Amino acid sequence: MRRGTSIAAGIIWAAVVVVIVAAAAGLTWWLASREHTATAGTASPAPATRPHAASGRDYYLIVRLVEFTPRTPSGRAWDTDGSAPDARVHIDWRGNRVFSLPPRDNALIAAWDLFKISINPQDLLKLKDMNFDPTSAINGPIVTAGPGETVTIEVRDDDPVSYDLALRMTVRLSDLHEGANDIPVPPNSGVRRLRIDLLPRDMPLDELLRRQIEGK
Amino acid sequence: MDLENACPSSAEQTASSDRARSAGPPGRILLWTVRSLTLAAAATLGAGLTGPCMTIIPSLGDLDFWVRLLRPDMGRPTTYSMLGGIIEILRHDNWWIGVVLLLFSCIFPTVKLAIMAWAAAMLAARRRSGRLMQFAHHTGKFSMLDVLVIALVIIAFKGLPGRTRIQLHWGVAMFAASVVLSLLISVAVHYLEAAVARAAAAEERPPAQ
Repeated sequence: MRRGTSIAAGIIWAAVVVVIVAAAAGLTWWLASREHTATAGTASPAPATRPHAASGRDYYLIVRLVEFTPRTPSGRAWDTDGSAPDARVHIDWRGNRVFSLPPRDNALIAAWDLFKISINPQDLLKLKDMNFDPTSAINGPIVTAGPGETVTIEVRDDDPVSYDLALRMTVRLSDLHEGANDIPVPPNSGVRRLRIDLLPRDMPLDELLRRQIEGK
Repeated sequence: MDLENACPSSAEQTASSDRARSAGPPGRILLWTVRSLTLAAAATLGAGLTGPCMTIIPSLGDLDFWVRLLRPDMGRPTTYSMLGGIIEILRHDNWWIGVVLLLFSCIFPTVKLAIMAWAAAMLAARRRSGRLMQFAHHTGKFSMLDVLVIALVIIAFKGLPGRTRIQLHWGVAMFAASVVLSLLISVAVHYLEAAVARAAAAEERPPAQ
Protein backbone atom coordinates (compact mmCIF):
# COMPACT_ATOMS: atom_id res chain seq x y z
CA MET A 1 0.00 0.00 0.00
CA ARG A 2 1.33 3.44 -0.86
CA ARG A 3 2.25 5.79 1.95
CA GLY A 4 -0.46 8.33 1.06
CA THR A 5 -3.16 5.66 1.00
CA SER A 6 -2.14 4.24 4.37
CA ILE A 7 -2.12 7.71 5.93
CA ALA A 8 -5.58 8.37 4.49
CA ALA A 9 -6.78 5.03 5.91
CA GLY A 10 -5.29 5.97 9.28
CA ILE A 11 -7.04 9.33 9.28
CA ILE A 12 -10.36 7.71 8.30
CA TRP A 13 -10.11 5.12 11.09
CA ALA A 14 -9.20 7.80 13.63
CA ALA A 15 -12.10 9.97 12.46
CA VAL A 16 -14.50 7.00 12.64
CA VAL A 17 -13.49 6.45 16.27
CA VAL A 18 -14.11 10.11 17.17
CA VAL A 19 -17.46 10.05 15.35
CA ILE A 20 -18.53 6.86 17.18
CA VAL A 21 -17.61 8.37 20.56
CA ALA A 22 -19.62 11.50 19.74
CA ALA A 23 -22.56 9.53 18.30
CA ALA A 24 -22.71 7.13 21.27
CA ALA A 25 -22.52 10.07 23.68
CA GLY A 26 -25.25 11.94 21.82
CA LEU A 27 -27.49 8.90 21.54
CA THR A 28 -27.10 8.03 25.23
CA TRP A 29 -27.76 11.62 26.24
CA TRP A 30 -30.88 11.68 24.08
CA LEU A 31 -32.14 8.34 25.44
CA ALA A 32 -31.42 9.40 29.03
CA SER A 33 -33.26 12.71 28.59
CA ARG A 34 -36.16 10.87 26.92
CA GLU A 35 -36.32 8.40 29.78
CA HIS A 36 -36.26 11.29 32.25
CA THR A 37 -39.14 12.98 30.40
CA ALA A 38 -41.11 9.72 30.28
CA THR A 39 -40.58 9.19 34.02
CA ALA A 40 -41.74 12.73 34.74
CA GLY A 41 -44.74 12.10 32.52
CA THR A 42 -45.80 8.93 34.30
CA ALA A 43 -45.40 10.62 37.67
CA SER A 44 -48.56 12.64 37.10
CA PRO A 45 -51.02 10.40 35.32
CA ALA A 46 -53.72 11.72 33.07
CA PRO A 47 -56.86 12.75 34.91
CA ALA A 48 -58.91 10.05 33.20
CA THR A 49 -56.82 7.27 34.76
CA ARG A 50 -57.21 8.54 38.32
CA PRO A 51 -60.21 7.73 40.47
CA HIS A 52 -62.87 10.28 41.26
CA ALA A 53 -63.34 11.42 44.82
CA ALA A 54 -64.89 8.51 46.70
CA SER A 55 -68.17 9.13 48.45
CA GLY A 56 -67.83 9.33 52.23
CA ARG A 57 -64.07 9.76 52.15
CA ASP A 58 -62.28 12.74 53.69
CA TYR A 59 -59.95 14.76 51.50
CA TYR A 60 -57.54 17.63 51.78
CA LEU A 61 -58.64 20.20 49.20
CA ILE A 62 -55.73 22.43 48.26
CA VAL A 63 -55.85 25.28 45.79
CA ARG A 64 -52.37 25.04 44.29
CA LEU A 65 -52.45 27.64 41.54
CA VAL A 66 -54.50 30.59 40.38
CA GLU A 67 -53.65 32.52 37.25
CA PHE A 68 -55.34 35.87 36.85
CA THR A 69 -56.27 37.43 33.54
CA PRO A 70 -54.18 40.53 32.71
CA ARG A 71 -57.16 42.80 33.48
CA THR A 72 -60.32 42.54 35.59
CA PRO A 73 -63.45 41.00 34.05
CA SER A 74 -64.71 44.55 33.44
CA GLY A 75 -61.53 45.44 31.55
CA ARG A 76 -59.90 47.65 34.20
CA ALA A 77 -56.40 47.34 35.60
CA TRP A 78 -56.31 45.21 38.74
CA ASP A 79 -54.69 47.91 40.86
CA THR A 80 -54.71 51.66 40.34
CA ASP A 81 -50.92 51.81 40.47
CA GLY A 82 -50.70 49.24 37.67
CA SER A 83 -49.48 46.42 39.90
CA ALA A 84 -50.72 42.85 39.59
CA PRO A 85 -53.54 41.61 41.85
CA ASP A 86 -53.03 40.72 45.50
CA ALA A 87 -54.47 37.22 45.47
CA ARG A 88 -56.71 36.09 48.28
CA VAL A 89 -58.47 32.73 48.05
CA HIS A 90 -61.29 31.57 50.30
CA ILE A 91 -62.89 28.15 50.38
CA ASP A 92 -66.46 27.65 51.62
CA TRP A 93 -68.03 24.29 52.35
CA ARG A 94 -71.53 23.56 53.61
CA GLY A 95 -72.17 27.29 53.98
CA ASN A 96 -69.10 27.91 56.11
CA ARG A 97 -65.77 29.48 55.35
CA VAL A 98 -63.43 26.60 56.03
CA PHE A 99 -60.15 27.94 54.76
CA SER A 100 -58.35 31.07 53.54
CA LEU A 101 -55.05 30.67 51.78
CA PRO A 102 -52.10 32.89 52.69
CA PRO A 103 -52.22 36.03 50.51
CA ARG A 104 -49.97 36.43 47.51
CA ASP A 105 -49.19 40.04 46.62
CA ASN A 106 -48.64 41.46 43.14
CA ALA A 107 -48.83 38.21 41.24
CA LEU A 108 -50.67 37.21 38.09
CA ILE A 109 -49.85 33.62 38.92
CA ALA A 110 -50.28 32.77 42.56
CA ALA A 111 -49.17 29.34 43.76
CA TRP A 112 -49.23 27.58 47.09
CA ASP A 113 -47.31 24.61 48.46
CA LEU A 114 -48.87 21.60 50.08
CA PHE A 115 -47.60 22.65 53.50
CA LYS A 116 -47.75 26.03 55.15
CA ILE A 117 -45.04 26.33 57.73
CA SER A 118 -43.23 29.45 58.77
CA ILE A 119 -40.42 28.98 61.21
CA ASN A 120 -37.99 31.49 62.60
CA PRO A 121 -34.54 30.43 61.39
CA GLN A 122 -33.31 30.73 64.97
CA ASP A 123 -35.77 28.02 65.95
CA LEU A 124 -34.33 25.55 63.45
CA LEU A 125 -31.92 24.22 66.04
CA LYS A 126 -34.85 23.32 68.29
CA LEU A 127 -36.70 21.46 65.55
CA LYS A 128 -35.40 18.09 66.59
CA ASP A 129 -37.43 18.18 69.77
CA MET A 130 -40.55 19.75 68.29
CA ASN A 131 -43.81 17.95 67.74
CA PHE A 132 -45.28 18.13 64.29
CA ASP A 133 -48.97 17.93 63.49
CA PRO A 134 -49.12 17.56 59.72
CA THR A 135 -52.85 18.15 59.47
CA SER A 136 -52.42 21.67 60.80
CA ALA A 137 -49.67 22.33 58.28
CA ILE A 138 -51.63 21.31 55.19
CA ASN A 139 -52.49 24.31 53.07
CA GLY A 140 -56.16 23.46 52.69
CA PRO A 141 -59.30 22.33 54.47
CA ILE A 142 -60.58 18.82 55.00
CA VAL A 143 -63.82 18.12 53.16
CA THR A 144 -65.90 15.01 52.72
CA ALA A 145 -66.86 13.85 49.26
CA GLY A 146 -70.38 12.64 48.79
CA PRO A 147 -73.52 13.04 46.71
CA GLY A 148 -74.30 16.73 46.26
CA GLU A 149 -71.23 17.87 48.19
CA THR A 150 -69.76 21.07 46.77
CA VAL A 151 -67.13 23.61 47.68
CA THR A 152 -67.18 27.25 46.70
CA ILE A 153 -63.93 28.84 45.74
CA GLU A 154 -63.65 32.59 45.83
CA VAL A 155 -60.67 34.34 44.32
CA ARG A 156 -60.25 38.03 45.04
CA ASP A 157 -57.82 40.83 44.42
CA ASP A 158 -57.57 42.38 47.84
CA ASP A 159 -57.20 46.15 47.84
CA PRO A 160 -56.73 48.34 50.92
CA VAL A 161 -60.36 49.44 51.08
CA SER A 162 -62.24 46.99 48.88
CA TYR A 163 -61.69 43.99 46.70
CA ASP A 164 -62.27 42.91 43.12
CA LEU A 165 -63.93 39.56 42.76
CA ALA A 166 -62.01 37.58 40.16
CA LEU A 167 -63.86 34.29 40.47
CA ARG A 168 -66.53 32.68 42.55
CA MET A 169 -67.41 29.21 41.48
CA THR A 170 -68.91 26.12 42.98
CA VAL A 171 -67.21 22.82 42.32
CA ARG A 172 -68.88 19.48 42.84
CA LEU A 173 -66.50 17.25 44.79
CA SER A 174 -67.63 14.13 42.96
CA ASP A 175 -66.40 15.75 39.72
CA LEU A 176 -62.85 15.97 41.05
CA HIS A 177 -60.20 13.32 40.66
CA GLU A 178 -57.75 12.32 43.35
CA GLY A 179 -54.55 14.27 42.74
CA ALA A 180 -54.24 17.36 40.58
CA ASN A 181 -57.29 18.86 38.89
CA ASP A 182 -57.27 21.65 36.35
CA ILE A 183 -60.66 23.26 36.80
CA PRO A 184 -62.29 24.81 33.73
CA VAL A 185 -63.14 28.35 34.72
CA PRO A 186 -65.88 30.55 33.24
CA PRO A 187 -64.48 32.57 30.33
CA ASN A 188 -65.83 35.90 31.64
CA SER A 189 -64.09 35.59 35.01
CA GLY A 190 -60.87 37.23 36.11
CA VAL A 191 -59.13 33.88 36.38
CA ARG A 192 -57.55 32.05 33.52
CA ARG A 193 -56.29 28.94 35.32
CA LEU A 194 -57.26 27.19 38.53
CA ARG A 195 -55.59 24.06 39.85
CA ILE A 196 -56.90 22.12 42.81
CA ASP A 197 -55.30 19.11 44.49
CA LEU A 198 -57.55 16.59 46.15
CA LEU A 199 -55.60 14.29 48.45
CA PRO A 200 -57.06 11.58 50.70
CA ARG A 201 -56.80 12.61 54.35
CA ASP A 202 -55.40 9.20 55.24
CA MET A 203 -52.57 9.57 52.73
CA PRO A 204 -49.32 8.64 54.49
CA LEU A 205 -47.15 11.55 55.54
CA ASP A 206 -44.23 10.38 53.44
CA GLU A 207 -46.45 10.40 50.35
CA LEU A 208 -47.54 13.95 51.17
CA LEU A 209 -43.90 14.91 51.60
CA ARG A 210 -43.03 13.23 48.33
CA ARG A 211 -45.63 15.34 46.59
CA GLN A 212 -44.21 18.42 48.23
CA ILE A 213 -40.64 17.46 47.34
CA GLU A 214 -41.41 16.54 43.77
CA GLY A 215 -43.60 19.58 43.30
CA LYS A 216 -46.58 17.55 42.13
CA MET B 1 1.94 -5.82 0.88
CA ASP B 2 -0.48 -5.03 3.65
CA LEU B 3 -1.85 -7.33 6.30
CA GLU B 4 -5.37 -7.25 4.94
CA ASN B 5 -4.17 -8.76 1.65
CA ALA B 6 -1.49 -10.92 3.16
CA CYS B 7 -2.65 -14.23 1.65
CA PRO B 8 -0.49 -15.03 -1.35
CA SER B 9 -2.33 -14.58 -4.58
CA SER B 10 0.27 -13.61 -7.17
CA ALA B 11 3.22 -15.36 -8.70
CA GLU B 12 5.78 -13.23 -6.96
CA GLN B 13 4.46 -14.31 -3.60
CA THR B 14 4.58 -18.02 -4.34
CA ALA B 15 8.19 -18.40 -3.24
CA SER B 16 7.54 -17.03 0.18
CA SER B 17 4.05 -18.43 0.58
CA ASP B 18 4.92 -20.29 3.79
CA ARG B 19 6.30 -17.14 5.38
CA ALA B 20 3.37 -15.03 4.28
CA ARG B 21 0.84 -17.54 5.56
CA SER B 22 2.59 -17.72 8.91
CA ALA B 23 2.61 -13.92 9.25
CA GLY B 24 -0.68 -13.04 7.47
CA PRO B 25 -3.68 -14.78 9.10
CA PRO B 26 -2.67 -14.19 12.75
CA GLY B 27 -1.86 -10.60 11.78
CA ARG B 28 -5.25 -10.17 10.17
CA ILE B 29 -7.01 -11.69 13.16
CA LEU B 30 -5.11 -9.36 15.46
CA LEU B 31 -5.81 -6.41 13.17
CA TRP B 32 -9.54 -7.03 13.16
CA THR B 33 -9.46 -7.74 16.89
CA VAL B 34 -7.87 -4.32 17.42
CA ARG B 35 -10.40 -2.67 15.11
CA SER B 36 -13.41 -4.37 16.75
CA LEU B 37 -12.14 -3.57 20.22
CA THR B 38 -11.49 0.05 19.20
CA LEU B 39 -15.03 0.47 17.87
CA ALA B 40 -16.48 -1.18 20.98
CA ALA B 41 -14.31 1.00 23.23
CA ALA B 42 -15.42 4.12 21.34
CA ALA B 43 -19.10 3.20 21.73
CA THR B 44 -18.75 2.37 25.45
CA LEU B 45 -16.72 5.52 26.04
CA GLY B 46 -19.40 7.70 24.44
CA ALA B 47 -22.16 5.94 26.37
CA GLY B 48 -20.13 6.08 29.59
CA LEU B 49 -19.58 9.82 29.28
CA THR B 50 -23.23 10.83 29.00
CA GLY B 51 -25.03 7.84 30.56
CA PRO B 52 -26.18 8.12 34.19
CA CYS B 53 -23.14 7.61 36.38
CA MET B 54 -24.21 8.17 39.97
CA THR B 55 -27.11 9.43 42.05
CA ILE B 56 -26.43 11.30 45.26
CA ILE B 57 -29.27 10.80 47.74
CA PRO B 58 -28.82 13.45 50.43
CA SER B 59 -29.78 12.74 53.98
CA LEU B 60 -29.34 15.00 56.96
CA GLY B 61 -29.86 12.54 59.78
CA ASP B 62 -32.30 13.67 62.45
CA LEU B 63 -33.05 16.93 60.64
CA ASP B 64 -33.74 15.18 57.36
CA PHE B 65 -37.52 15.36 57.71
CA TRP B 66 -37.48 19.09 58.38
CA VAL B 67 -35.03 19.88 55.66
CA ARG B 68 -37.13 17.94 53.15
CA LEU B 69 -40.17 19.82 54.33
CA LEU B 70 -38.69 23.30 54.42
CA ARG B 71 -36.09 23.11 51.69
CA PRO B 72 -37.29 20.32 49.38
CA ASP B 73 -34.62 21.16 46.82
CA MET B 74 -31.90 20.25 49.31
CA GLY B 75 -33.30 16.76 49.85
CA ARG B 76 -33.79 15.95 46.19
CA PRO B 77 -31.63 13.14 44.76
CA THR B 78 -29.39 14.29 41.93
CA THR B 79 -28.16 12.07 39.11
CA TYR B 80 -25.00 12.94 37.25
CA SER B 81 -23.36 11.61 34.15
CA MET B 82 -19.58 11.74 33.87
CA LEU B 83 -19.77 14.71 31.49
CA GLY B 84 -22.63 16.32 33.43
CA GLY B 85 -20.61 16.05 36.64
CA ILE B 86 -17.62 17.71 35.00
CA ILE B 87 -19.80 20.51 33.62
CA GLU B 88 -21.23 20.96 37.12
CA ILE B 89 -17.70 21.18 38.55
CA LEU B 90 -16.78 23.80 35.93
CA ARG B 91 -19.98 25.75 36.66
CA HIS B 92 -19.01 25.89 40.33
CA ASP B 93 -15.75 27.62 39.36
CA ASN B 94 -13.55 24.63 40.12
CA TRP B 95 -11.75 25.23 36.83
CA TRP B 96 -8.57 23.36 37.62
CA ILE B 97 -10.25 20.08 38.63
CA GLY B 98 -12.86 20.45 35.89
CA VAL B 99 -10.32 20.96 33.12
CA VAL B 100 -8.12 18.09 34.36
CA LEU B 101 -11.11 15.74 34.49
CA LEU B 102 -12.37 16.91 31.10
CA LEU B 103 -8.93 16.37 29.64
CA PHE B 104 -8.34 12.92 31.09
CA SER B 105 -11.86 11.49 30.98
CA CYS B 106 -13.25 12.91 27.71
CA ILE B 107 -10.59 14.27 25.43
CA PHE B 108 -7.64 12.05 26.24
CA PRO B 109 -9.45 8.66 25.97
CA THR B 110 -11.01 9.73 22.66
CA VAL B 111 -7.68 10.89 21.27
CA LYS B 112 -6.03 7.73 22.56
CA LEU B 113 -8.55 5.50 20.80
CA ALA B 114 -8.16 7.55 17.62
CA ILE B 115 -4.36 7.11 17.84
CA MET B 116 -4.81 3.35 18.30
CA ALA B 117 -7.10 3.19 15.27
CA TRP B 118 -4.52 5.21 13.34
CA ALA B 119 -1.74 2.89 14.53
CA ALA B 120 -3.72 -0.20 13.49
CA ALA B 121 -4.20 1.29 10.03
CA MET B 122 -0.47 2.04 9.80
CA LEU B 123 0.44 -1.48 10.95
CA ALA B 124 -2.03 -2.93 8.44
CA ALA B 125 0.05 -1.20 5.78
CA ARG B 126 3.23 -2.54 7.44
CA ARG B 127 4.29 0.89 8.55
CA ARG B 128 5.55 1.90 11.99
CA SER B 129 2.82 2.89 14.41
CA GLY B 130 4.73 6.03 15.28
CA ARG B 131 5.59 8.11 18.34
CA LEU B 132 1.97 8.96 19.06
CA MET B 133 1.28 5.29 19.74
CA GLN B 134 4.22 5.16 22.15
CA PHE B 135 2.77 8.21 23.85
CA ALA B 136 -0.62 6.50 24.08
CA HIS B 137 1.04 3.38 25.57
CA HIS B 138 2.73 5.42 28.29
CA THR B 139 -0.22 7.61 29.18
CA GLY B 140 -2.75 4.76 29.27
CA LYS B 141 -2.59 4.60 33.03
CA PHE B 142 -4.20 8.07 33.32
CA SER B 143 -7.41 6.64 31.88
CA MET B 144 -8.21 5.32 35.34
CA LEU B 145 -8.28 8.83 36.77
CA ASP B 146 -12.07 9.07 36.60
CA VAL B 147 -12.59 5.73 38.27
CA LEU B 148 -10.23 6.91 40.98
CA VAL B 149 -12.18 10.17 41.39
CA ILE B 150 -15.50 8.29 41.64
CA ALA B 151 -14.00 5.93 44.22
CA LEU B 152 -12.73 8.92 46.25
CA VAL B 153 -16.12 10.64 46.03
CA ILE B 154 -17.87 7.50 47.27
CA ILE B 155 -15.43 7.09 50.15
CA ALA B 156 -15.86 10.78 51.03
CA PHE B 157 -19.66 10.52 51.03
CA LYS B 158 -19.62 7.29 53.03
CA GLY B 159 -17.74 9.18 55.70
CA LEU B 160 -20.24 12.03 55.88
CA PRO B 161 -22.74 12.15 58.72
CA GLY B 162 -26.44 11.98 57.94
CA ARG B 163 -26.54 8.77 55.89
CA THR B 164 -26.11 10.44 52.52
CA ARG B 165 -25.91 7.66 49.94
CA ILE B 166 -24.51 7.28 46.46
CA GLN B 167 -25.94 4.89 43.91
CA LEU B 168 -23.81 3.95 40.94
CA HIS B 169 -25.40 3.46 37.53
CA TRP B 170 -24.50 1.81 34.27
CA GLY B 171 -22.57 4.84 33.02
CA VAL B 172 -19.70 3.87 35.35
CA ALA B 173 -19.74 0.29 34.02
CA MET B 174 -19.62 1.57 30.44
CA PHE B 175 -16.76 3.92 31.21
CA ALA B 176 -14.85 1.19 33.06
CA ALA B 177 -15.50 -1.17 30.13
CA SER B 178 -14.05 1.45 27.79
CA VAL B 179 -10.94 1.76 29.99
CA VAL B 180 -10.48 -2.04 30.10
CA LEU B 181 -11.03 -2.32 26.34
CA SER B 182 -8.49 0.41 25.66
CA LEU B 183 -5.95 -1.50 27.79
CA LEU B 184 -6.70 -4.67 25.80
CA ILE B 185 -6.32 -2.70 22.55
CA SER B 186 -2.98 -1.44 23.77
CA VAL B 187 -1.83 -5.04 24.36
CA ALA B 188 -3.28 -6.20 21.02
CA VAL B 189 -1.53 -3.37 19.16
CA HIS B 190 1.70 -4.42 20.85
CA TYR B 191 1.24 -7.98 19.54
CA LEU B 192 0.24 -6.60 16.14
CA GLU B 193 3.48 -4.64 16.01
CA ALA B 194 5.38 -7.84 16.82
CA ALA B 195 3.46 -9.76 14.14
CA VAL B 196 4.27 -7.08 11.57
CA ALA B 197 7.92 -7.11 12.61
CA ARG B 198 8.00 -10.92 12.28
CA ALA B 199 6.37 -10.75 8.85
CA ALA B 200 8.87 -8.10 7.74
CA ALA B 201 11.78 -10.19 9.01
CA ALA B 202 10.40 -13.26 7.23
CA GLU B 203 10.20 -11.35 3.95
CA GLU B 204 13.78 -10.16 4.31
CA ARG B 205 15.05 -13.72 4.82
CA PRO B 206 16.28 -15.39 1.60
CA PRO B 207 13.81 -18.01 0.33
CA ALA B 208 14.64 -21.64 1.21
CA GLN B 209 16.11 -23.65 -1.68
